[in-house]
Formats: sequence, C-alpha cells, structure tokens
Amino acid sequence: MENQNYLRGLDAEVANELTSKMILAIDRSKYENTELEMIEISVAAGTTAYAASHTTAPRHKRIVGIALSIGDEAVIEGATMSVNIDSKEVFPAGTEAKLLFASTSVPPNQKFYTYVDREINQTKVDVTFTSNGFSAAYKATFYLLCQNK
Amino acid sequence: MIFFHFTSVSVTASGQIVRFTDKLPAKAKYCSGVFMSANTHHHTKALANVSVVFNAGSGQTINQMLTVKDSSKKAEPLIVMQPLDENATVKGFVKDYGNAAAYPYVVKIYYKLKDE
Repeated sequence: MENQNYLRGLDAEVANELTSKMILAIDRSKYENTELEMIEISVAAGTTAYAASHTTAPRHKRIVGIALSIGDEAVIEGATMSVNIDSKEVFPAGTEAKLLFASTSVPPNQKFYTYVDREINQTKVDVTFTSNGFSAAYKATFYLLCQNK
Repeated sequence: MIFFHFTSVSVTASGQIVRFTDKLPAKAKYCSGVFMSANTHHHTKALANVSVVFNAGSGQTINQMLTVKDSSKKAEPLIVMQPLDENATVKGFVKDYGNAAAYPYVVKIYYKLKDE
C-alpha cells in the first residue's frame, strides 16, 4: 500500500520500472552475504565409493542450503550419498543422491535444499558418494550455501 | 536440527504387498516430511502404493502413490506434522501395482525429522 502511495502520480511506465527494481532489491537482500563452498568428487567409471571431508571457511557463520550437481542426469539414478555436518548425521549412508539433486529445468536460485540451516564456525562437513556403475568418469559436486552473518 | 532417516523395503514380485516396521532414531521428536522413492520406475504408470503410520499405529497415516519418475525435477517431501512418541516406530506397507520395469526393486521411504 505504501508503495502504491509512493508511486501515485508517476507515469505508468516509470512506476512499473520502479516497482520491478524494488522487487529485485528485496530479492537481493535475501541473498546478501551469501557465498558458495564446494566439495568436489572425481568419480571414476564403475561402482565406487568416495569420501570427502571439508572444513567451512572462517568467514562463513551459517549454512543455509545444500545441493548436489552432476553434469549428466543419467548418472544420478542409483547413486547414493551421506552428509554429516559437525559429526552429526544429516543424511544417513545409503540415501539416494537424487534427493539432493535438481534437474536442469529447475532455476539456479531454487536448486538448493534448505534442510541444513544451522550455525557454523570452521565446521567439518563430511560427505560420501557411491556411484551407480556408470560407464564414464564424471564429477559430483556438493555445494554448500553459506552466509557471512 | 533437521536430519533424515529411511526405511528400505524390497519388492520381489509383481503384485506383492510388503509390510514393514521400523524404529525411528531415539533423538527424533518430530516428523515434518516424508519422501518416497524407488530404484526403478515406469514411464507412464504408478509403481506402487505406499502407506505409512507413525507412533505404533496411533499417529497419522500417510497413503501415497509411488509414481513415475520421481527425480524428474526436484524431490520435495510431502509435508506432514507429526509429533513423535519416545522411541517412536513407523509401520506400513508397500503394495506393488505390477508395473515395475524389473523385479526385485527397492523402495526407500525417507522421514524428515527434527530433534526438538
């Protein structure tokens, strides 16, 4: 309502442009101080289990989301993973990797799963990934969405 | 803190009804979502009907059809709001529709849990 009062009397086109800029500004504030951390696993052909350990950067104070990215969607079927944050189990071993995976038809700002919202302070994040026996090598990357505040 | 637990159920034959009972982790106080997923699919038909009831039968029942390709976009849990008893159990069944591409296959039922 305040916005409508503020915009009253303006040319419709100018008002529309202002409104869209305001929406963008609100959207941006949601992602302010947000950065990504990556845990990259190089997966060889065949069924193989991998483990990786990662310590979050000192400047990051909160983890707000997690996502798994794999170049080829065909390899996700049958692959499993686990995620432990600060030695606490979030996803137990054997969890299907497709639960953390969003296809290319999902916009980038919606790809993250917000299950892991918690404070961090150089926290250890342990992941495992077991491939499904795909015939070629590929990279599986866990992305952590972190905030500085 | 949110964490996950899953029950694994193996379906070995077409039309089979498999009953299961599972104990949830002792620290789980609340269940806020349920996923269901299988390691096989059918291109056009539903795979199975999965029914889950919490707290040794006294909690709410979730009855959901396990559908075609569940990972086509982004897996999101079915939202439930279920306070859990101490040492809560979950029981239910998987009823196969005879549409799977191959048998046996494994259905995993994931619970989104909270420890507070």
